[in-house]
Amino acid sequence: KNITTFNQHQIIMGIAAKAYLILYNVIQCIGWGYILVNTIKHHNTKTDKTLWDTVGSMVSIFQYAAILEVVHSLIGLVKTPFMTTAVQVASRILLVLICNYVPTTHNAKTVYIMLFSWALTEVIRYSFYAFGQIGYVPYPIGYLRYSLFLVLYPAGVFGEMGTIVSSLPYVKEHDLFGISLPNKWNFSFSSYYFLLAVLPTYVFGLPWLYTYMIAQRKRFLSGAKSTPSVKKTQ
Amino acid sequence: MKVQVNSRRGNKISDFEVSESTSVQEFKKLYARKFPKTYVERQRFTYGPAPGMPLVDGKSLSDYNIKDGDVLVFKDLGAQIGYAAVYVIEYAGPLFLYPMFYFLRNQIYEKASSHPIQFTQQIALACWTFHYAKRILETLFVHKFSHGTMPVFPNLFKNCGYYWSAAVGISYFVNHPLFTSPPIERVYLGLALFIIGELGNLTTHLMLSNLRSPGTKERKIPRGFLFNYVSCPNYFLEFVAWVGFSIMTQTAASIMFTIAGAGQMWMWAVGKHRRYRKEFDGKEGRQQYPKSRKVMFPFLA
Repeated sequence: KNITTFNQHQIIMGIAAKAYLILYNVIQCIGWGYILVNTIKHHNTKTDKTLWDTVGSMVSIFQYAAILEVVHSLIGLVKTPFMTTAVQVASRILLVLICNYVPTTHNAKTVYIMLFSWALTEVIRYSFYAFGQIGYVPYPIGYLRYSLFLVLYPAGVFGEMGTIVSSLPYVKEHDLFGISLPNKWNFSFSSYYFLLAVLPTYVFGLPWLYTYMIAQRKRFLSGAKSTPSVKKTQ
Repeated sequence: MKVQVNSRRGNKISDFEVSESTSVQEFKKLYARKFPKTYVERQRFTYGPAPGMPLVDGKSLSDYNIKDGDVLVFKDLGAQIGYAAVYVIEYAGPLFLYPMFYFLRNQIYEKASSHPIQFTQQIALACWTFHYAKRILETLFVHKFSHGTMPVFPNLFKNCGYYWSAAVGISYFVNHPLFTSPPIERVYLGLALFIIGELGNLTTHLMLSNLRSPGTKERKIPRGFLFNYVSCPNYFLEFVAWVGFSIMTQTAASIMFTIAGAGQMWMWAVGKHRRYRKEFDGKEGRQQYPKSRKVMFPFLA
C-alpha cells in the first residue's frame, strides 16, 4: 500500500512540529540579525568596549541554542543528517568557547570577519528554513542562500582559522581546560595541541563543503523542483 | 533479446544482446567487456520504476521478468576493495601501533625510565594483541562474507582512520609511565570479562560460519548458545570483551572506544534483526523467526 493515512493525533503533531520549527527558525533569524547589525556597528564606531563585549553573549546564546538542531535531526524532526549537523554545531561552539575564554581575541580582526560571515549566513539560512516550513521560499532568499556562500564560506574559514591561530599563545600559556597525568581515568588533554589538530581539518572541510554547495547551487539555479535536504552552510 | 542500459540521469549508455536465461553475472561480464573500466564488482543494475529492483548475483534476467526492449538502470559503485582486504588492513594498524607505545616507551615518553612497566599494562598488551590477531585470523579462515567488495572511498579511509586512531589514543594512555592502574581485583574482573567475551565471540563466529554451506550465500536462522536470546550475540560478546578491557585499564579513551563500538554495532544489529524478521516471516513455507529474540542485549534490547 503506497498511500499513507494519518490519524488525527499525527496531524496535530505534524502541525505542532511545523509551528515549533517556524518559531525556532524565526527566533534564530532575529538573533543573528541583531548580531549582524551590531557587529557592523561596532566596526564603524569608536568605543572602548571590545567587539566580544558587545555581541559575545548574544553569539553564545544563539550558537549554543543551535544544539537544538542536532536534537531535531536526531529525533527526525528535520531531514538534515545528524553527523553533518553535529560537526557543524560542534565547530561553531569550539570557536565560541575560544572567544569566551581567550581575551586576546575580543577585538581581533579575524573575529569581525568570522562573526560577519556567520551572522549574514545564518540570517539567510534561518529565513530559508522558516519559509521552507510554510512551503514557499521567495526566490531572492533562495538565490542568496545559494550564492553568498561563494564568498562567505572562505571568509568564514579565514576568520575561524585566524581566530584559532591568534588564540594559540594565550591557550598555551594558560593551559586552558588542561588535564594532566597521572589521574584516576588515565586521561590528559591539551587545548593547545587539540587546536593545532583542528586547524588542518579546515583544509579538508572547506573544499568538500564548498563543492557540495556549488552542486546544490546548480540544482537551484536550474530550477530544480526540490533541492534535497541541504547540509548546513558554514 | 535486446536490453537497453541507461544511466541514472536517463541517458542511454548502450544496448546489449542477451537471452532470458542470461544470468546476472553473465550480463555484468558482458558489460565489463564493453566498458572495461567498470569491472563486475563496480556494477549495479536496477530494473523497474524508481528506486527499482536491484539485480542480484545468482539470479537470471528471466527471474525479474525482463523482456525484449526493457531498460536497466546502471550505477557505478566506484572503486572496490575486497572485504577481507579491508579488514586485514584496518586490523593491522591496531596490531602494530598499540605495541609500539609499549616496546618503544623509552623513546616515546619522557618519564619512562623512572617508572617501570606495570603488570596491568602487560595484561592489557596481551589482551589487545590477542583481540586483533584473532580478528585477522577470523577474517582469513572463519568468516564467510555475503558481499565480495565494498567501495574504497570513503570506507577504507573511514575504517582505518577509526581503528588506527583508537589504537593510538588508547595505547598512548594505557602504556604511559604515569598510568594509574585500578586495584588488582578489578584488573582480574576485567580480564575475566574480556576472556569470556573473546571466547564467546569466537564461538559465535564459528557457529555462523558453519551455518552457511561452502560457496553459497544462503541465510539461515542461527540457533543455540546466545542466539536463543539475541540476533547478534557476536556483537554483544564483543561489547562484553571491551567492557572487560575498560574495567581492566580504567582508561577514558578505552571507555569512549567501547561506547562508540557498541553504538555502531547496535545500528548494525538493528538492521540485521529487521532483515531476519522480514525474511523469516513464517509465511509461504518460510520459517518463523523466534519472536522472543532481542536485538543485541539478552533480555534487554
